[in-house]
Amino acid sequence: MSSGSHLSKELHDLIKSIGETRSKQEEDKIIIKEVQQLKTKLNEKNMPQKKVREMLIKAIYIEMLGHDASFVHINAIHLTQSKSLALKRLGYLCCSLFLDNDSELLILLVATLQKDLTSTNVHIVVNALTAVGKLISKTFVNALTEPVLKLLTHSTDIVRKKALMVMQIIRQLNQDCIAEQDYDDRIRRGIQDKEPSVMGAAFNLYHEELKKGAVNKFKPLTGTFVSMLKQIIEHKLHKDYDYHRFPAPWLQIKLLQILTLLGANDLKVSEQIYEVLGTTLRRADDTTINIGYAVTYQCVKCISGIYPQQSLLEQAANSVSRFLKSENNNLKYLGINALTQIVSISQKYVLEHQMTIVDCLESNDDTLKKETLELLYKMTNEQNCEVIIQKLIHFLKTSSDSNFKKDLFVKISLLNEKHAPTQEWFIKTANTLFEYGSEFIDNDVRNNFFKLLIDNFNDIGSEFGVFITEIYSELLKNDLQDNILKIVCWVIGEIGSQIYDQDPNKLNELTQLIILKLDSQLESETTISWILTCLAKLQSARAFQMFDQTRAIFQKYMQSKNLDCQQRAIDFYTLAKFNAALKGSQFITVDPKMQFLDAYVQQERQRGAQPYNPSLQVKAAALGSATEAPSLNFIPYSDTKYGGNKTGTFGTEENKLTTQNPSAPTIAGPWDDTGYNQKQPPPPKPTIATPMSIGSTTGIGSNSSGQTTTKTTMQSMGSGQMGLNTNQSQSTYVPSVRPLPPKEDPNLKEKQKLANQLFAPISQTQQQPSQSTQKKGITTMAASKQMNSNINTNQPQQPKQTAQVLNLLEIDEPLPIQSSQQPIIGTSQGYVQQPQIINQKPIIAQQQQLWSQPTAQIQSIPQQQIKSYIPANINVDQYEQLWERNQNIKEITLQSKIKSEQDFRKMIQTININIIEVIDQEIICAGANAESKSCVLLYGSYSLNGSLELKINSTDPKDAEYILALIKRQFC
Amino acid sequence: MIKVFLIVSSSGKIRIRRFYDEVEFARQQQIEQKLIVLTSKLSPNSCNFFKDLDGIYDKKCKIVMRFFGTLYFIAVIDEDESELGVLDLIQNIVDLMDKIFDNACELDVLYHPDKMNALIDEIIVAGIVVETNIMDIQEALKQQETQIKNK
Repeated sequence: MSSGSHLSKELHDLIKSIGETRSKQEEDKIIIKEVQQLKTKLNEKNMPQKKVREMLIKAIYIEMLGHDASFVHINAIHLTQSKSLALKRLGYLCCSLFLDNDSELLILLVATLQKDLTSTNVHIVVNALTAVGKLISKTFVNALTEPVLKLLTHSTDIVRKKALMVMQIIRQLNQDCIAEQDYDDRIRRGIQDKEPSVMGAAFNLYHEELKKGAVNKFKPLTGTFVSMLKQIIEHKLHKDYDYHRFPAPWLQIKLLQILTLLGANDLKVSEQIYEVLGTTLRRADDTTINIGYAVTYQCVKCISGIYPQQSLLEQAANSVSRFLKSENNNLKYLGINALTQIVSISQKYVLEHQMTIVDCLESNDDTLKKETLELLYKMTNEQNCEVIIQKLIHFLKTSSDSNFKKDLFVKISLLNEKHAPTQEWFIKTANTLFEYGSEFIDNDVRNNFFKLLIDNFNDIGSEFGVFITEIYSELLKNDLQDNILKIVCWVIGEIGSQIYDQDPNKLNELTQLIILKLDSQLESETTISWILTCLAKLQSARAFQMFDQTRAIFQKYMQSKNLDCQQRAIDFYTLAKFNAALKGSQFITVDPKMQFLDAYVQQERQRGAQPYNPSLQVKAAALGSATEAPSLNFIPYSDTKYGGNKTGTFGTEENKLTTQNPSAPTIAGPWDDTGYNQKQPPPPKPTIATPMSIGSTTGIGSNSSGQTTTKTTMQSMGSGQMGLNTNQSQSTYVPSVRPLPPKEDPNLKEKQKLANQLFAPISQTQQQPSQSTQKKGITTMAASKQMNSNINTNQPQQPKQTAQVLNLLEIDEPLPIQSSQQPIIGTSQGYVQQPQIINQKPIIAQQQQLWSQPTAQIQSIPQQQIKSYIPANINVDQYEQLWERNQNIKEITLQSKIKSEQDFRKMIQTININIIEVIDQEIICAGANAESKSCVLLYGSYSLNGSLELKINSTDPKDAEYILALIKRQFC
Repeated sequence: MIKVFLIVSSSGKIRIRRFYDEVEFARQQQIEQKLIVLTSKLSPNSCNFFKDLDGIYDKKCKIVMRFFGTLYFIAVIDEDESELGVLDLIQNIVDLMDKIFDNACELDVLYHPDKMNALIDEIIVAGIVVETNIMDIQEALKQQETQIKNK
């Protein structure tokens, strides 16, 4: 050790005393004392140089400890003017360390720097250059550019090298100082320098330029760089540049970085690089020193960065896999990183090393574990996911590091969603995952999982429902952690109750199991809420029989101290009454035609009352002001006159409407001030309170707003979306969230589409009232899923039946059991639907047509009869009113040629009706049959991929059929 | 490029501080403190590299750390820089210190901040490693020292 013999005892003492302090306060005391001494001493004149030097070193020390030493800055600048190299160097160092680029003191330095840059003493120049590199700023960049550029041709390589670097900084600060051409020339001369060290510095400049994006400009230089790399690896450079007998490793690394940028996404350039890259990698592989590995790593980065080449990728993966087996964690880390790079190009080469990678998870090094997990996540696919997830779950079980476990948990669930081979596997893995990582289950995880389940359930139907209900009811027999119990409750309540809607035995069994859980040891009261909710859902099933038990339970929890529990218990208790009452409701028929009034009407007419003729008013609506008939005014009154009160426009008619829908006194249509905000145009129901309230747990839509409470709760239950945001799941009903695409699914879709196209005219005619009634109930069912549910005749429709009950409460839907006109259509429905699944057996359908004449008739209508339409001049409000009055709604989603608004307008023109309003991709139109003057309302939503959603509401169902057929013929 | 180069004593005191990008003094100290805390994660067999996941300097950056005697050498580097290259660079710096101070120790760094910084300035200019040839650097530094002594 060369102790500072030339340094005074003072500095030594200062350092020693600071070293001995035990607290920050003590340290501060010493420093404050020292600073004061320094301040007075620095002001003394004629201080010996040695003393000044020591004082500045003290100042550096003080500043290093985080204290302010700004009083010394001016002395540092003075020192730079010293003639002694030692003091000058210290002066420049202090300036570099103490001063910011925007310090006002810098201006005092410029003249000294200018002078020193032109000095004949190499070391003064070098020190000045170093200081310029650190301190140069926009304000005085111009003053220094000239002397720096001159130094590029200095006789000493150290100066040329540093001048190059400073030139780069100058150009970064101000592009105008050096012209682009000039700059390029100068770096080119840099790489042609006879000294390799200057050449190395110039590489940095190229690298920086390339990083900034000037790739194309330098592509012609690829050959030069390649040959340089070749020369380096062939030991053509002087031995001095060897590092542990490895030729100029840092230059190799730099060149590889440059080549990576040049060859990215460019086959032609990459082809020039492949050969030298292979050789470099081989030679680097032969060494066993760290820096050799560094070059290997850089080669791998280059290989994965340029246009991929198979054999090189293979070579790279092999080289890197050796890193993984090394004892050295640094190498393992780099190996993992390198493989992560390769995997993003091609998984193939990495998969061989799968098990080695998995073993890295056993490491005790945090960084390494994290990286490994990242890599495994990236390389998992359908084939290896079982193995990898199993391994990961093993680590989840055994690990004690909770951060790592959390990471694992998240990654496993993502992988499971993405790659699980079968649904069964998915559910089982999810359950194991929840078991070992139950502490990580939060609302997000849960809701996400529920959404996956319900999406799958909607897609696949009852089979899946039975399957998961089985699994989860099995689970119920064990002791469960609360977090898992919540999930089980949800599944049983949501899906179990739908699946076994008609099966009293199963329902009893499930209810028993759930009730037992109430007596088990629970961690928190919120779990009870979940159980109660589950029971409430179960009791809404049609075949539910255990009302006495559930009522007793709800009654018990009505006294609960937990507000959430209490509220739920009260709500569900009330609901239980309704549920019981509704048991009989399936036999109640509501007669929308109100035939029971016929006698009364007859009587009145005999007394001389005017007959009620709805078509008159529809006509009026359709033709607007064009009719001469003194009918109702459909043109809006001015606001002042109207007074904002919309009722009354329709007179008695309107009143009838509003009484039917007490919760929506004003016209409750989808179109409001903010635009169209619901998919289903006429919602004759109170809207579901979407943010399901009550308590902290999600789910359970008990809305406490007076009379609608019961309805809304039941709706949310009936629609099978309790616990999830109903609207959201509807609007985000896109395939991308579907985690488990069953293998046959796309095919099925295709078939459906085909069937849809082939048989749509028929099936459309079949979608008579009974159908649409069901559909209205299930708001969550996207139109495209209808076919799916129609295939499995009875089972999957059960949710709809609950929904049907709901509709009964809302009165104005036509009902399945209908008056004399419809039975034919009703009976044929079952058969004609069939072609969608059994489309290989058309015989059945034909047979059917033979003995059900009317079907054939209906089918032929669109072709035989030519109808014409006239535009209806109505406004949006009138449209809505008309829409609610007519219930012959036909819904269909088609694959069409219509991809823009223009296309849509063309279609509307062809039909010859008119557009009433356009909002984004949704358009509403209205018209009337030219002959019968019956009204036709059309709602359409197109999308850029050609999927066209149509809803046609017409007084005469034949009009809707005709228009649909027309659209299909001409626009699909 | 290298963003930060620090030498820190095992007692958590800064011995050399070089920031190669403009960073405010207050933030410099924050960064230093966090890096010092990070040194506790370094054990003889553990990996010397860290990703700056917490954004101590910048989330894209990597941190290379190495322990010699009583000193931690810490470099914050950007995504392009080779971790292993920097690790060997630190080795290089330590070798050079040994040659210049004749078996270097922490006190040398304290007593000779000018020499230490001059050494680093020879290797890293504006955050970029310009010279890695120990012989060249040693030669340049020797010349400077002899000139200083002669005057």
